[in-house]
Amino acid sequence: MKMLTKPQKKSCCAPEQAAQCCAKASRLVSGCHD
Amino acid sequence: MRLSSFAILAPVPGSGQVLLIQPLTSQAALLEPGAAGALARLPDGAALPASVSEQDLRDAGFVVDSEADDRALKAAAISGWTAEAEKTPTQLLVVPSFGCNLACTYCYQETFDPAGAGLMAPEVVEAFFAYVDRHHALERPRPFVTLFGGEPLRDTPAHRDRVGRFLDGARARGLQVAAVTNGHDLAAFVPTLASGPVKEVQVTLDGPRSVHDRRRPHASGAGTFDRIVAGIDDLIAAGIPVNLRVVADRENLDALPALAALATAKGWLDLPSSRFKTQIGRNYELFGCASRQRREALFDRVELWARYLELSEAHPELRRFHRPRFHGIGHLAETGELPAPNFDACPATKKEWAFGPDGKLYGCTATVGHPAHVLGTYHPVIARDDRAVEAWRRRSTLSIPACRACALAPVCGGGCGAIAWDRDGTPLAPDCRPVPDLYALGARYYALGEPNRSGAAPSLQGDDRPTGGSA
Repeated sequence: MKMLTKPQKKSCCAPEQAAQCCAKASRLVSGCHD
Repeated sequence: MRLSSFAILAPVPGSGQVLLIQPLTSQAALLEPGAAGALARLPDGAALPASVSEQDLRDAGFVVDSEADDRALKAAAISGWTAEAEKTPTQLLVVPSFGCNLACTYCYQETFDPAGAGLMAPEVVEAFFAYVDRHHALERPRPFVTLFGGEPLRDTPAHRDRVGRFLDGARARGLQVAAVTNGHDLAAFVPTLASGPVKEVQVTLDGPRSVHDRRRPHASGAGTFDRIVAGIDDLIAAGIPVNLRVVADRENLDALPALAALATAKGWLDLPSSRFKTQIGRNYELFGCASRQRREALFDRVELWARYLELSEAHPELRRFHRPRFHGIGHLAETGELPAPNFDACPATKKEWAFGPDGKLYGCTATVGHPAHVLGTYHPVIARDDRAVEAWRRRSTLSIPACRACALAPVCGGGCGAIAWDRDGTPLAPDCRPVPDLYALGARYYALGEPNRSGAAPSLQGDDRPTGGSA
């Protein structure tokens, strides 16, 4: 198995912290069609 | 220990490898042949293959011990998605007129009421900004205004007047303006656009001259290609960002290499993506087929991108022309990160509103002008139909019954509410996306896992991996 992404910090699994640590390095898939 | 209910396995065409995605944690891995089957058999007591690290599986959220673990992953992802969605600017899409100077063969608006071809009156432009002041004055990030049609940029005194009013009104409120145009009359508008708060102009070219002119002729029957190309050059020379759109189906996709050659020769592809980018939009039936549109010429999503993959392998120059998203695989290839999960692909009444030339209010680009989708008025009075608005506002994969138990929902987002409505009579229905198939095509296109893959980061692991956020 070859990881293509860096494993997240475990704290991301806590809902109260997810907004802070998950959102900063990500972005939504944009566009409502193709 | 078992695979998470939300883990997605996508066999990569031609490689034997399987892409493993956990959208809830934005994690991705490639599995050797056989490993995917072993993971699926974990509940039956199958042993982990030697090539698979249990710690990696757990750290990434690919595997869980219980349904409660899956629920916790989903709750965390929803929290992150909510925060991310709040950072998305609202699009206020204005149709100054449904009239158009072109006669495209596949125009989905051809059945619209001819009365809508009239140009928006000046007092309706004022009413639009009064609506913005009432409902969006304090909104952060600032919304942006998109001029849409019909064709918003026609070279008449009245059209130039209205465009000037929109630019002035937007500038006064700190709003940027985008325009979606066929590009035919751009020469008349570029000086005005260059002085305004313009974030982007979308122009459509459907291929090289012969192909484009057959699909997108002027209403007079004359070709439009040369004027549009000149207009794109004018935009670029003025420093206005261009978003070049191709509406693709079986009748023009194979002409893309010729269009890519033109873009290369023009120097467009040497520009940074902040100044020139492309999109390939699938030609599809929104509310039925246009009268001159052959249904059999339409691709479904997998067909389109599978054919694009074939074409790009035969014509590598296409890779410079357009880099498909493949539900976030393009982002993964470029940055080493997967996009955050998206539980709602439909922005209508949340991050998008649309304004017709007659003062009527709609939810989005797809529904504007459709009499069944009027959500109120902004002229002569501002009056929202709260019940109709709420039906759209509450749409997400968390509220669509058919999406609630779907493992693909964090990627698919429930698709387009307008298409769902057309099929099922309610926006609270799914418009499903072929997520695993597109993941697989994306993995092949971007050669994920191969050390020297084209156009991607050299390594996605260890110290070489990009660490900065790209949002």
